[in-house]
Amino acid sequence: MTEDVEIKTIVNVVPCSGIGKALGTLSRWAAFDAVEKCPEKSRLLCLSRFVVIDDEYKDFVRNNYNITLDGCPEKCATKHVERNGGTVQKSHLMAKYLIKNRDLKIDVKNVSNPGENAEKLAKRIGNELEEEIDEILDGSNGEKGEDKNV
Amino acid sequence: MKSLTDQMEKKVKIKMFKPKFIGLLSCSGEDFPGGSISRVATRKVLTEFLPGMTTAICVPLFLNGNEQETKFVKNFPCITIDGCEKACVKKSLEAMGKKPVESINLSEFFSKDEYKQIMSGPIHDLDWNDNPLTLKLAEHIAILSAKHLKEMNMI
Repeated sequence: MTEDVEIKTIVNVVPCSGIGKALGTLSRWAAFDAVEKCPEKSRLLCLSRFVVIDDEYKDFVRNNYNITLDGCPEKCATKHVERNGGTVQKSHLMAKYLIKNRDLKIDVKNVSNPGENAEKLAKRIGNELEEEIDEILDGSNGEKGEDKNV
Repeated sequence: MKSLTDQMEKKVKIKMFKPKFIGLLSCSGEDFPGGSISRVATRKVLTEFLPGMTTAICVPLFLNGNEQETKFVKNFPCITIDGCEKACVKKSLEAMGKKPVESINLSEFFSKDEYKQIMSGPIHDLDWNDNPLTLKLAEHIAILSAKHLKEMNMI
C-alpha cells in the first residue's frame, strides 16, 4: 500500500535518443536538467530499454505519469510509452522550443554538442518541465492528466 | 561480346550492392552514464575517426519500424554498442533475425574498475566528451569498423 502511494508521486521523463539529430541531444539535455532539479519527483527512463521491457519497467511506465520529449515527428518516445500501456500526460516536440526561443539558435549540424545556446535552451526547457512536473503532481489528485502539448 | 557485356553489367550490379557502410547501433541509456559514454564514443567514430564510412542508426526509430532504418539494418553489417548487461541494442537486432558482426558490451569491454568509474560518473554527454575512457571505447569501435570495412575492400 505504501509502495503504491510512493509510485504515484513520480513523473517519468522520457527523452528521444536521436543519435543522428541535434534535437535528440537537446531533448536529452533538457530531460537531464529537469530530473536534476526535482530528483524526488521525477525519473529518467531509457528509451532503448523498452526493447527488453520487463515487468518492473512496465510498472514504472503504467503506474506513473509520463512526459515525453520527441526529437522528430516519428515521436518514438511517445509511441513506446503508449505501446507499453503508459499514459502520456505531456508530449513535446523539440522543434516547438526552437520556434518559441528564437533568441537561442542552436548548432543543429553538431549532434554531439549543439553549442552553448543549446545548453541554455535545455535549461530553459528544464525549467518548464519542472513546472509541468509540479502541475501534474499537484493537480492530479490521483487522476491522470489529459492535455498533451505538442 | 554480348556475354562480356553481361558479365560487366553483372560486376557493376554487384559493386552497386556492395555495402558502403558499417551501421553503428548505440545504447542511448538516458538514465545511466553507460548510455552517455556509448553514445559519445559512437559519435566520435562517426565524425572524427571514420567519417563517411560509418553511419549511426537511431535505435528507437528502428524499433518503431521506420522503413529507412530497418532497410539499412537488414542490408548492411552492424556493430552494436551496449551500455549495460541488459544488452537492449543487441537484442533488438537479434529480434529481427539479424546478427551483429560485432557486439560490444561496456560491462565486458572495460575492466571492473573502469566500468565502476563509468557507472558512478556523470550522466551528461558533455562530461564524457574528452574522457580517456570515451576515447578508449571510440578507438575500439573504430578498429572493429575498420576491420570489417577492410574485409569489404572499402579501405
